[in-house]
Amino acid sequence: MSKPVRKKRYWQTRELIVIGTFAALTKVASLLIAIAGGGMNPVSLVLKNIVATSLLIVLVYKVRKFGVLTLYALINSLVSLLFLGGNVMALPGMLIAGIVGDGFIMMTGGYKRAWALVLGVGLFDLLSRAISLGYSYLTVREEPRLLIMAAIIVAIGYTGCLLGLGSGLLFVKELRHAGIVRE
Amino acid sequence: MPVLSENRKISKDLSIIQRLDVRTKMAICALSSIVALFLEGIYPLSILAVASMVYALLHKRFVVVFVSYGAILVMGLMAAFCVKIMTLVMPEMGKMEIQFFFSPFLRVMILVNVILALALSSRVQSILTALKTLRLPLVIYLPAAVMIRFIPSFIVDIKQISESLKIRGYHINPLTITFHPLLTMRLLFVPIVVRALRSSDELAIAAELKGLGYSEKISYYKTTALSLADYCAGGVATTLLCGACLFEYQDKLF
Amino acid sequence: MIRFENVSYQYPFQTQKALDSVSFAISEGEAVLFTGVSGSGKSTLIRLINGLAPHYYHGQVSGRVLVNGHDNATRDINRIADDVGTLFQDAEQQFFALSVEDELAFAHECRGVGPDKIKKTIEKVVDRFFLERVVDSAIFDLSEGEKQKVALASIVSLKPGIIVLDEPSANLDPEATAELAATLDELKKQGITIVVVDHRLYWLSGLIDSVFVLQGGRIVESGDFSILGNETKRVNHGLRKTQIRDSRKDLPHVREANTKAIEVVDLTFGYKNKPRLFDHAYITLPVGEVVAIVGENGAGKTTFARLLTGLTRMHSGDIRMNGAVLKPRALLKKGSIVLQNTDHQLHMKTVRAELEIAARDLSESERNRRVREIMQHFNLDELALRHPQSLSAGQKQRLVIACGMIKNPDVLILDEPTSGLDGLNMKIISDKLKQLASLGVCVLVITHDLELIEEACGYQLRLPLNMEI
Repeated sequence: MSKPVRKKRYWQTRELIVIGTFAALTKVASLLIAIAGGGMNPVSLVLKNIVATSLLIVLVYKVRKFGVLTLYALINSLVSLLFLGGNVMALPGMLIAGIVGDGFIMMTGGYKRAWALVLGVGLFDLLSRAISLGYSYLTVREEPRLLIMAAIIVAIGYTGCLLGLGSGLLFVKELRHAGIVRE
Repeated sequence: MPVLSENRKISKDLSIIQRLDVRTKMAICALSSIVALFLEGIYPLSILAVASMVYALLHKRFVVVFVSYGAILVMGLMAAFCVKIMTLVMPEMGKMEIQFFFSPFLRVMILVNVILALALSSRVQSILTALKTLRLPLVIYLPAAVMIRFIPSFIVDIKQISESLKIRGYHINPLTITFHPLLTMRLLFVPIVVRALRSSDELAIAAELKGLGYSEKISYYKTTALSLADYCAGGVATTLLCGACLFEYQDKLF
Repeated sequence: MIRFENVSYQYPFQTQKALDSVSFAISEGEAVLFTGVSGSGKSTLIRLINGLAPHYYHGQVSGRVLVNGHDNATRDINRIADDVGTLFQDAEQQFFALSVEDELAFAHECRGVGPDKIKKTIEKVVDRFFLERVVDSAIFDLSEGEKQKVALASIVSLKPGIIVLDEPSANLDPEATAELAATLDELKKQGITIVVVDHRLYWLSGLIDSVFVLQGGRIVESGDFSILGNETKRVNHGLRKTQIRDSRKDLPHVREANTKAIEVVDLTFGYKNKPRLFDHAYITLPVGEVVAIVGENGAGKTTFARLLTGLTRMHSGDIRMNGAVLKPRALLKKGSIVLQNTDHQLHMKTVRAELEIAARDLSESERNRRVREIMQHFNLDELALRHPQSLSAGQKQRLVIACGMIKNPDVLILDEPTSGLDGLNMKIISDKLKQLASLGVCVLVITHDLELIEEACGYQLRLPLNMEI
């Protein structure tokens, strides 16, 4: 049996569990909305992104540490790989999006500032989508005009992300009122 | 995905694909997606598309597979239709030539087939075991394990929440989502988010009390070894992928 | 073994102490009960014993908490966990794995124990707790009693000297509760110190050596189990009864009721690939009575509730109210189910908004009147602007019942409405149910709570049903 070690770890157990929980919730929520609302329904496309981004805002409020977006992106991609087998090519890109998002939050005020968190999450969302569009381009490069439809869908989705930034803040406020999230 | 919400006893009655280790299927997916991305020739892509279709159909979930194909066909046709409209409205974009659609279509087919084979045949429990076998550092293993642990839980919670809404006269369907999006989202997601936050707290407490963080390294009780079927499947997949690459680049190589 | 020396504790963000100047000592091998109304400090006490307070919850502790001679303030949770195992009310929430075997292995994996040793430990503990039948099962497939057993087995496998149980009987039926009592008795005989926090008291009479009653964060009564037999004290402290008659044995069946307002005729239903739960069944339900729906797990209690309210469609059969056959849509309008998990049924920002949305089909003036009335009836006036998710368990239960009642249903079905509630809140719910029944509602309660059955129920419906017309 290994010796018990009292080591000060950067990531606390509860923080890692919260990240995993929210990654699960985002995955299930996105699936649910896509199934219930119809995958190509623009309203459900926007809603899916509103919900996902709102959850991400709640997550960064709960785990205010450098690396939260990176770790979230990594876990999401890893589990998607295990469950769905794709998109291994996007994994490095998602990590970069996470690092850039986290870096942006650090440089623009830190994790204690609400607007830095919001902008960081917004940037993370934007980069993630840009990377997935880049992957789509490689897939359809013989007929790049096909990408236009993908770009329109991504753009519609991103409006959901932008709305989600605001709704996320409102939701955090409500959770504070409920005593579930504290400052 | 059906297997996520089915919390059945682990069954020993498995098809050929189900007997493959999750790592093997993951590796096939990963390699296929990389190779398919770089191939451009119709013939190598077609060979891989047919091989991947056989691989998916070996799962014997024909309905799901063909419905997925139907969905891809519909999306493909819609995309082609949009391109056609664009070329008519903006002639400077050039003409639409059908042969340029083949390679993208075949790539998507390959990806969908290998993904379906993984998604339809993997049980949550085996994915959790596969995760352990990867021997990842705790900072990655723990949240990933939690995510896998909670996915079936949240699916059950959402079903119960939907039922409670049905009791109150609310129905979650495309119409309600389209015409009452904000109310529908509130009704559905406020309870589940609160539940998620409470569940994560409780699990974190349980993890601490069970000794997570006690030791520098955690041990792994159960890991699965790769079987002959895995090596065979891996060998076949690698041969096909290499063959497709050779086919593609034979002019450059020879 | 455990000693509290003038311990006080205050949570962060709270203005009042959760525990105030508490002192007691528990010897090795003793079985002790801490009880009291909700908010009296019982959970805080557990957290101080197992180190969650202050190491996880932070906050301020004064005084000393000694476990096995060590001050908890100087040890971290992992080290305290070597001495103290904790079993929570909701066993599933503390499961890390998806299968029983993996869950039993988890804590040992965290300690870096080798696979061979883990295997031997699991075999021993499976044998000891009779888990052979379920060891290969997924945890979501287990009954509440089985989950409890697996959680307890996992704790016992770590060989702590002290086991703390937080409301262990809340989700269990009487049979599983009796089994738990026997298991704890066996553990006590092996020298393990047992600390139980629970509202339900009847099942502990043969086990407990000492009792402490808490109120407002202080110990207000202490002694042996017999002190709980004093009726005046029990009622004053809002406690449940220590002796309960199992009225399931002699409670009259619904077919003996005089009024037969609801008829279920030729009911047939079964889940796919499973035996039929109802096979041409006929049953009548009275109004003006509270009916207990009882039966073992899997007997079809919740299914019956769903069929009665139209949530699930029956394969064949009719439901008739006052002679008229009702379609599933009409059933949903006439009936209301209050589910066990209150968190799943609360969606809005305030208590008032929750009631308003439940009454949305009414006109505005009618809705306002009805909301006012229901809030008064259920003592929710002072909570009108509170967020529903911030309420206590008893308050949430009253709120969801109020939401169920606001549309004036003819049938109200409640699934385990008093699970985990203290004596005071159980009495409040019980009185409300009797009031609702007296107003002509058919009140059906799916429950394992023997005290509630004794208090409120006039008839029982025992499942499974398999009656020919």
